[in-house]
Amino acid sequence: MKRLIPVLLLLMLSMTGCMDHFLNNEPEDSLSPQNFYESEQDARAAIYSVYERLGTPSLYNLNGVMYILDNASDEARPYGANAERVAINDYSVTELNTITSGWWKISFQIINRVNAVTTNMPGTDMDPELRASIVGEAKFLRVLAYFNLVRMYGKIPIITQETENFEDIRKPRSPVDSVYAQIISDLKGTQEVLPVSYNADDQGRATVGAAKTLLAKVYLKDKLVGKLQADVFLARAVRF
Amino acid sequence: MITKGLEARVSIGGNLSYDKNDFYAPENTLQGRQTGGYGSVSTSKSFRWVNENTISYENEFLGLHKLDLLGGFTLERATSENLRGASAGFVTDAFEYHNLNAGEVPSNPATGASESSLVSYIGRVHYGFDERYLVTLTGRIDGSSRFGEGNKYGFFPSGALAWRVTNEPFMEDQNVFSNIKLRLSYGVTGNQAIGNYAALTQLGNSQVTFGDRVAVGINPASLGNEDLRWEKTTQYNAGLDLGLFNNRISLTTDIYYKKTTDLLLIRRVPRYTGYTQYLDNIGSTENRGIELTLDTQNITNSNFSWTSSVNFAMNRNEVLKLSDGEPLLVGTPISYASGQSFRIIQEGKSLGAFYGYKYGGVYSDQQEINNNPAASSSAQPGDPYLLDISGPEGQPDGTIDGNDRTIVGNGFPDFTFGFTNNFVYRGFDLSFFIQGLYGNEILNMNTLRLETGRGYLNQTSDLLNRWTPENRNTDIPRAARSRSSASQTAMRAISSRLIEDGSYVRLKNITLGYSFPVDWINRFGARSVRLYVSAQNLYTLTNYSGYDPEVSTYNNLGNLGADYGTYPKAKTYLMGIELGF
Repeated sequence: MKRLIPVLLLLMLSMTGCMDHFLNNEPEDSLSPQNFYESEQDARAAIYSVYERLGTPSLYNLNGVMYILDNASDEARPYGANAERVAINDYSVTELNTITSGWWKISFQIINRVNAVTTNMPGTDMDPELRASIVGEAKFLRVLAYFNLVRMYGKIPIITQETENFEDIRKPRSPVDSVYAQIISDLKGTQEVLPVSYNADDQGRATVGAAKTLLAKVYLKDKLVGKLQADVFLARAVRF
Repeated sequence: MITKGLEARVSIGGNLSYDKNDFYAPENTLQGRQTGGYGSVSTSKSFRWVNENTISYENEFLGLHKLDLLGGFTLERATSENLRGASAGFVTDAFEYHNLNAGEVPSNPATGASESSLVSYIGRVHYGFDERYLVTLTGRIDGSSRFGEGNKYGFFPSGALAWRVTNEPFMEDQNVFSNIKLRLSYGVTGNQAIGNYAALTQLGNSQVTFGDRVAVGINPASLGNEDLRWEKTTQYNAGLDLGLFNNRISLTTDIYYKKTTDLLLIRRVPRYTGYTQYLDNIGSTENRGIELTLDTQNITNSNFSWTSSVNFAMNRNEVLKLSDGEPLLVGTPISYASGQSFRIIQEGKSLGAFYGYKYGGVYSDQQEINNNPAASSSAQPGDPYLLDISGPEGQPDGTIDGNDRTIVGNGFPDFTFGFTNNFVYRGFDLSFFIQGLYGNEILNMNTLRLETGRGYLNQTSDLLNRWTPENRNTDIPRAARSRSSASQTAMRAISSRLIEDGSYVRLKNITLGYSFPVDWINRFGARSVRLYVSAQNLYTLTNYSGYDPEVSTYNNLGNLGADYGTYPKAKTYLMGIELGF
């Protein structure tokens, strides 16, 4: 008995290493960022996931465009008595309104997925031109989200890095001018890298035409036209 | 058995479970009509094995010292896999779910897998001296795969002391106390009831259409928390067991203090991070309380006996500290309340706190609207309103928004009690059990739907007392087909309007039985025959207006006391025969 205990203790100690291995269970049905963003395939999958958010109901679908933009205008009023839709009609929206907070949430999910692309792309093993094009495409989609947000909320946090942990998550709202400056600088950068068109399998992805159209729309936004030299921007907007 | 008293034990146990869920919606159902028949099959398989390896030693010395040692380790692993297939658009209902490949519109098949492991090292010393003093010391180190790197292991010691006073020599000459036992204990326990991979950052996948094809995207889905560690509860307990007059009266009392640190809970984050929440060790809470049980044998005759048992428990709960001091909003939101969380976790307050607006009632007349600075311009007499209690500066600001929310109730009871009685008279036996709760509140979210006053949903009879020009003194809003935004917000808000007293006393069970005389039934070859009638939840005394005060829609502590269409406990009548051979 007395001899057995040290042997047992030794056995247990030697097993500790194995135990650590035993406790290392990693998911088999999902990836971790450490084993992704490596190849061209990965880059494509990452950019596709940004487009997926554009189809969510809170953004361009019923909840987003119709409930927010139409209800807030004099073109429509809500049918039925849903308090949140009525609140948008009456301009009495609070931070608890799930229609507007849904728009906010999805927009920033787009931004974070874009930032995952722009943050991780430099490490991928792929054709540099294609990489630049995908980064440009991502920035175009980020601009789309920011352009919607800035018109809806005014001052908003500008976030251009992927969220990798929850330390330091309190971000200030940036002034409207800074948001537009970011939008314009991002959009201009996309002009040289985006393709003119895609083949049939990629119909619907951002082209240089889309980027120029969006830039034109940004310039045409009345506040900005008033503030900047309207004629110059209008000329640029109609040039392409 | 190795030598006398020494025993080594290795055991392996396994648990395999398999679930299969078959579903088919034929053409004559709504879903089937919309989809042309919809079938799905989903299966899940889980396997858990446990391996325990212990060495124990037990011996008695000099007839006085009793020693019991145990040491060892255990391994545990649980794996699960699931598979789901579904299809729609069937030519005929004949296949049901047996031929999903006959559907025109197949869904993507889905599979998933999950695994978790647990390692424990255990040591225990149990020492008894002369059946008078008992000491137990336990130490265990548990490792769980669910926690972050470097935080997988937790140490959980415990110790207990007991003194059986009645076994002392000086107690030999009395016959009042048949049992006196004093107990003191201390123990730390761990909680790892979280998702399997909560500490790890994971990517998810999504589908999007380009041209005529579906493309798969991979995206950030959840951000892990490497600091995630064991939630620990340290409990101090003092107890006294008393037995009087040959245990005809026995009393068990316990007083405890429990402190939970590193509470595992969802923390919400600003949505501009791209995420909404993550799991974190958010802070510490305490529970303190007493528990009493009194068992008495009131009458013990050969013909008639009556025994009863009363128990009483009281618990107080408080959130001690939150790691960043900021209150946390929790509680599964329901869409009918616009997704508002209804619970708050705030330092110095109970974990059971309901969070919402204060309901002001309804404007009885125009004068009342004019007197309310926060009244909306479209307010009409009979409209409900919320109270403007605060604003961004901490002062009422004339608008109703999130700043006006506060604690409006508590889902935890002041005390609970139970009362059991058993009567036996010759062959007859009667028993009943009464249970009660006092001082808790219920958030009755059914009110959100059952008191809309819009004229097309079934409503409670409380609406008979709604505001009308003739009935101004009420807090039930007027009936209206449509409402202004402010009054609609007041109707849909989580507010004190939904808070009700949840106290109740309930006859949980009553049973009357008759056992036939033994020598009579022996003639028919039976050993015992008993006929009985019994009823459960027969009668409830409560002011709660919902179906059942005993229910909670969400089966977890954080959402306790919220009722939203919960299936009530059934009133059950039973008749039975018990036969023994």
